[in-house]
Parts: sequence; structure tokens; C-alpha cells
Amino acid sequence: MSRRVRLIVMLIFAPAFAALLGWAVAGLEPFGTTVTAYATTVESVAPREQQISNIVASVVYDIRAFDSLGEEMILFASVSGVVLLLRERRGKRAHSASRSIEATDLVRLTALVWTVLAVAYGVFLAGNGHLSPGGGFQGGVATLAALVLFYLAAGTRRMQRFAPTTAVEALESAGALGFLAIGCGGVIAGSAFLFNWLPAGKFGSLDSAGVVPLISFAVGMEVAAGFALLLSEFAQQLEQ
Amino acid sequence: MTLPAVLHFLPYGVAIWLAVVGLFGLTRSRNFIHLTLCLTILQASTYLLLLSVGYRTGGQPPIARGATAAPFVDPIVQALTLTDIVVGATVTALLLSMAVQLHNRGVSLDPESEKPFRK
Repeated sequence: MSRRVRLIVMLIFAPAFAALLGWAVAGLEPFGTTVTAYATTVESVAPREQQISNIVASVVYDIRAFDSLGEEMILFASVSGVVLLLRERRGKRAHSASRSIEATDLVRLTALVWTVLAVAYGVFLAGNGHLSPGGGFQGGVATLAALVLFYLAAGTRRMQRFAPTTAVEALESAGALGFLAIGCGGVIAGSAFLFNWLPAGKFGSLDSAGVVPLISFAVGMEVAAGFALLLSEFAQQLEQ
Repeated sequence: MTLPAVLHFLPYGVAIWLAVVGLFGLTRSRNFIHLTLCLTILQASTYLLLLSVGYRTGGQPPIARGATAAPFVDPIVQALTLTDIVVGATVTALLLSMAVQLHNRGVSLDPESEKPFRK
């Protein structure tokens, strides 16, 4: 199919597709009034039975934890794919240090201060996700921000020393395995896989919500380590 | 709180626009990096659609502690969106690493230089 034919086909079918979507949307309830039965149920069940404050975290790490496990595996597989694709060429060409960018002192100082703060914030988000907005996915990405800052300040070589690839890989796998192990705990406790088998605790305290904070922390570990691997692989591409 | 009828449709309209523009970009792309970005735009339209469906007028964030009597916005669609944003980013990285690999092998980044588009 030539470019011209494709353009003509697209000019016919894109508006038709938009019109179909518009028709579908017109059948929805007016904006701001949709109330689904599932949402209503979750909103009443999560705080009462799981003693969990953040209802979104309750959906992600408890009620639909199985879906999150699937998402985690997509993340794991994508990171593995990137590492496989990009690492293949490494070592074929000699590394040249001349192309790495040296940061100025001001950038270094600012970045290092913010690295510490970003790590603290990331850990807080991952560990506190059942109480306030946050959770493992957000916390992991916030922790990654710290690594990006460190990379900006120190460059690839020093980042390798600060966060060696083998250690980061081990952390990523530990995050994924931790999620699975907590899920298996439900089976050992005599119920279903990913059943919330820990005591629900007191509403609003750090040790409430059973397995939710643990799973959230495992997810945070995997997300942060996975993205750190992506960062280091792409950074090493730049230096080749 | 009553909104004009146009504003009721606006969030959905933007989501549809993003979906169509993303698709259009996919079919017209001459560069794999551009293609990947078009895919993320297409993906962003689903986030906007989900969050628009979940919005409730006068709603509050779905955090039970310290909540008032106002209704919560839909937590289900928020949960769907937040996991997919993070996971989608790694899938984007995978696609971009394929582009890097093509470039390293001296292959053109133009999708039309290869089969099935090449004549």
C-alpha cells in the first residue's frame, strides 16, 4: 500500500472512527454523574473490612492484586527485553570516557541534595500508600528520580559504583519474587492466592491494611530497580 | 453545579481527538521514534477517557481517612490508569531500545524502508 493510498484510506476511516467513538460516548451518562456498582462496593468494603484508607491502593494491591501482578510481569518482561536488546552490543566497542558529560559543581551539589530527598520521598510514598495518595508504582518512580539526579551529577561510571547492575537486578527480582511470595502466603494461610492474610489492624495506622503495604513496597522496589536498569542501559548506549 | 452541554462532552472529545491523532500519526510515520510517541499519545487517550468516566461532580479523592460526606471519584479507573502509566513507560522503553538497536545496525529508522511497506 503506497503512502498516498494509505492517506486516503485514513482520511475516510479516521473521521468514521471518531464518529463511532463519539456515538459511544454520547450513550454514557452525563460527565460527572457516572456511578458504577463496582466503585460503590469497593468504597464501602475497603475501609470497613481491610481497614485501608486509600481506596485506590486497596484496588491495586488487594482486591485486584492479581491484575497488578500481571502488570508487574509486563514491566519485568519489558525491562528484561530492553536489557537483552541493548546489552548485546556492549563490549564490542571500546568505552571512551571522553564522551561522558561532566556536570558543573552547582549541578552536582543541587542534584546530590535532591537525590537524598527524592529517595526519602519515594520510600515514604511506597510505604504509606495504604493511608494517603501513593503506593508502590508512584513511590518507585519517585525513587527513580533520585537515580536520574545522581546520574546527572556523577555520570555513568560513578553510578555503576553507587548502584552496581548486579545489585539492581537482584533488587528487581526480589521485588517480583516478594509479590509472588506474599501472594503464596494467602494459599498457606488456607485461602486463595493473593488473599489478604495478615490482620487488618487499626484503621489509619502504619501497620493496618494487612498485606497491602508489603505488596506496595515490593512493587516499589521492582519499579525503581526496573527503571534504574533502563536508565543505566540507555546511559551506556550514549557513551559507546 | 450545572455545566454547559459542550463542557459535558469536552473531556471525551479530547480523548477521541487524541486517539484519532495518535492513529493518524501511526499510519503517516516516517521514523520509529516518532511512531513510538504516536503510540503513547494513543495510550494517553485511554487514560483521559477512563478518568473522565470516573469523575463525579463535587467529588473528593478516594481516601477514606478524613473524608467528608461528598462522593468519592471512581477509584477503579484511577487504579487502572496508575498501573498502566508506569507499565506503559517500560513498554515505550522497549520500543525505543528496538529503535536504538536498528540505528546501531545501520538500518534506516524509517518504517517504510523495510517490509511489508517496501516494494
